[in-house]
Amino acid sequence: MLTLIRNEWFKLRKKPSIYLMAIIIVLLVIATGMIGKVTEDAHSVPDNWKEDLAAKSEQLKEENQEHANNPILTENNRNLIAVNDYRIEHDIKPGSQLSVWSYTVENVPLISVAGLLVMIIAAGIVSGEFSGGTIKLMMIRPAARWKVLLAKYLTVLTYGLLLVVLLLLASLAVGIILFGTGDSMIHLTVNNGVVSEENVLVYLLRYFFFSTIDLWMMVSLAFALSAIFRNTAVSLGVSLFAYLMGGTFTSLLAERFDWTKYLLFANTDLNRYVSGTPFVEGMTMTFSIVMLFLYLAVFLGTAFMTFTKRDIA
Amino acid sequence: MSLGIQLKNVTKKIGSNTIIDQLSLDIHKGEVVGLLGPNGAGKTTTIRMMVGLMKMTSGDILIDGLSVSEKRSATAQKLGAIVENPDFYSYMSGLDNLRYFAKLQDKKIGRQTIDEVVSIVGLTESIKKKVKTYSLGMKQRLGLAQSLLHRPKVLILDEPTNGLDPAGIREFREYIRRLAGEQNMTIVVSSHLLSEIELMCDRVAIIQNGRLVRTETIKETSDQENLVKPSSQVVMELADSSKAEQILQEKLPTLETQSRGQRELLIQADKETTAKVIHLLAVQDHPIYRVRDSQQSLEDRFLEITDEKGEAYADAHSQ
Ligand SMILES: Nc1ncnc2c1ncn2[C@@H]1O[C@H](COP(=O)(O)OP(=O)(O)O)[C@@H](O)[C@H]1O
Ligand SMILES: [Mg+2]
Repeated sequence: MLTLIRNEWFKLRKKPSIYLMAIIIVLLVIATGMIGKVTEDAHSVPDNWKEDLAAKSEQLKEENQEHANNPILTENNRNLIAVNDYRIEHDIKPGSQLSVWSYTVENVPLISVAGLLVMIIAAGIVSGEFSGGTIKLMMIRPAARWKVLLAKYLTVLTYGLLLVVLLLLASLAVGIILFGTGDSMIHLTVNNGVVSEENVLVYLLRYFFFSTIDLWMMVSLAFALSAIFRNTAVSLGVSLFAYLMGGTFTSLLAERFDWTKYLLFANTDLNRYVSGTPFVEGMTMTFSIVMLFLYLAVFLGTAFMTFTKRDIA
Repeated sequence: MSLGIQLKNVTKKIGSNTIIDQLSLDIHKGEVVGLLGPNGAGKTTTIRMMVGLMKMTSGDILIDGLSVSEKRSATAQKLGAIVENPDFYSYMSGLDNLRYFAKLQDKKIGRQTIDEVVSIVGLTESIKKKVKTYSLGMKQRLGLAQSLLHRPKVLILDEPTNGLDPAGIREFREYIRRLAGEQNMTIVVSSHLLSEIELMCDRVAIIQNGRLVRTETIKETSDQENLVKPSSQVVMELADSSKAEQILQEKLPTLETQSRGQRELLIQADKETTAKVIHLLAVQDHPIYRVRDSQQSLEDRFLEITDEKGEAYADAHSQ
């Protein structure tokens, strides 16, 4: 199995595109770093920050009274108020400037870019062998079909992991160089109005990891479609569409229907269970994790079934 | 077990189409068999089933005594193949392609073996270039190389002479004969052109519309064999066929003759008789312009067979 994975990497390594993708990630990180540096003033904190926070909390409370019928807004505001109160009470000044930590958190949307790039690899890794005709020379050799497919899947996952880790490390490096480590290592996490302190690094890693979950799901979808349809364009198109539109559709549906909670995109954001609100009331982290694994099983199960059974013509 | 490959009533249906129909063929170890048939006859489909890319609908194929449908991984170790076009990773060099396919094999294949195979197929000079710069002929050579890396017992090559120049075909033919002779390899070579494989095969199996029409043994007839070879039809071109017939009937009353037009005489004779006939006519000062064997070449028969069936097939479908 290890040999098969190494063999997949042997081929992947020869593709210029995978290096280009890594360069894109690093350049994007540098770009957001520059932008952050230029607009840094916006983050400065006044000396009388306690009064400032209290005033902001007052504003939020008024807003809540006006929009008492909007549960999402009021819940969100209540959490913000709780954090402000906690800061005032425990004398924890908000991060005075952009630090490497807050900067890295701001880079989390770049995970979507990494996801997109990994999906391109995932969509081509099986179908490319079919369109190139090389699948024949591969599958007349002793390795069982399911092993070859598994090796390909693990190769895609390791490549995805490398890109995500690269994004994280590049963000940390650029962040430290441009913004320094900041003056506080405490992150305040709020859930249901209850505030707790957390090491910022722990928070960062969890937040970062949880934010990659829809990446793994969409990469798995792209991979599965690639093995089922043997067509790169179809698998990339379908999975990309799902990636870009899935979240929006699910939000729209969630307002009206309870069953939305069974949809994939209602379950991909585990950060909601740590701080924030679930998509549909009553959903728990366990429920979402089970749902994620169910979806994964369906994607990969179908892929392995078709790939091992169908003729290679 | 002296059979290298055994096809037993192999049938392949795709949808309602029967692509291969009850095909049976035994191929001995060390034998080179040509799969011959026009485009669409089912050669590639048969080969795909032999190498385990396609499952058969019914029947079975044994490679060196092992069933492909039951022991694909084991049979895969025994065989090397090219299926349809010699497709490679075009963004990698020929050498990297070979290194990659070598690693997919269960046994360890060293750099030395790879270099050896590369030099045998005559690619040493361009092996470090990217495959996208290769001509079809070069890809065929690379295809042969990848099929030989693990020293298989059975070699299955689909249209390997496609894209080779005449010198390349000749080299290829000699190499195939050597593999079968020296290493007792069982070899199947498909082609839609008899002329390209006739000289390298011990036997050709003619396939038409998914059926095995017939197999023909190709004899490299020795001189000794020729002399005792049963009589065959000989065509003589003469000044006057009826006069010649007269002379011959007088001297050789048992000879079967038949004049065809004014200048052609057909006789049924073995070589010695033919020599006698020529002598008789010559001493009578009867001019002989030409003597040739009227036996059809295999090519003619191949064309005839496939034409007939093709027409029969077309007729059956036009009704
Ligand atoms: N995947 C497939 N689906 C349906 N028909 C096929 C498929 N592959 C081949 N055929 C049909 O099977 C027949 C034999 O094809 P093939 O084995 O490629 O012929 P050959 O290699 O002798 O030229 C053709 O009529 C072809 O149209
Ligand atoms: Mg063919």
